Amino acid sequence: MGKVLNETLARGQIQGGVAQGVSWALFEDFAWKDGAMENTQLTNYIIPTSADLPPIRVDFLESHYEHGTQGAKGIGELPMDGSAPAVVNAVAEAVGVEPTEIPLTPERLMVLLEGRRREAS
Amino acid sequence: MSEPASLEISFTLNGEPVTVRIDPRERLLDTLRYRLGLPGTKEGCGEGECGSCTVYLDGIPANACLVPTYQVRDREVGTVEALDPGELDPFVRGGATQCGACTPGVAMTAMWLLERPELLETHDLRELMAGNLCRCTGYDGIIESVASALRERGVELPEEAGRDA
Repeated sequence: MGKVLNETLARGQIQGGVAQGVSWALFEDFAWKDGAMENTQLTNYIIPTSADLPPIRVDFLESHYEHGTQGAKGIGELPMDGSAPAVVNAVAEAVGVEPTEIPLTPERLMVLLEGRRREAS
Repeated sequence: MSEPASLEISFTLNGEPVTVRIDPRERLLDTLRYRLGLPGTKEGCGEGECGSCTVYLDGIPANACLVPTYQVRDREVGTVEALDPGELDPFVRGGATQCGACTPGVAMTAMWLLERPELLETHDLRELMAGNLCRCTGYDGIIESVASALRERGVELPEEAGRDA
């Protein structure tokens, strides 16, 4: 990740990104209609509260990025990439289904579980 | 044409008496921001979900976007402008803020909670802070900052794994 210049902000950026990925895996379901997002309110597009997320532990693996200021790189939204696949893979491992879509809402999981049951019978 | 309806009300704002003429349909959030010049109270969702507009109403946190201003007649309203900036040090140190949209509301809830540590006997800290949505921090910075402010006041708390585990 390059050199960490501001530990508090770097940690926060990673925790925030991981949280968004977890949330994408479980809650955040865009509903599109006529090219526009239909659920544009926080009452129907759900994002997590502090009670919905676990503490997120961050360890830095630093390197020196030769093209960056003092060896640093931008963090940006990269921290978001890993957590949704991690959550979905954990569910897949736990109950033996192969989700291909996020968010893995209870409804989508139920469809997958019913499909598996039909295959088995 | 008839005059638009209006009424005059008085209440206590951050310890000082105020009298203001308002539209009867007006939200406390807009009265504070646009009539009384206190823009620290932010509008997030405008529907009581996000907690950005948290104010104290008779000492209890409330969403200013859901309170019609006429209902605060003769009551006490507190806003983020009245908080002591020195009290916010743990939040700056702990990375409790990034973009800042949730920060005034988070600070209001947190400061209220710091005065009521007994709530932690029956509620988890994450549960108590769940009325303020934050999109940036993933909440660890907020929860750890509130926890560290509580510890500085001598409250014993279980270790949150977020920071040091």
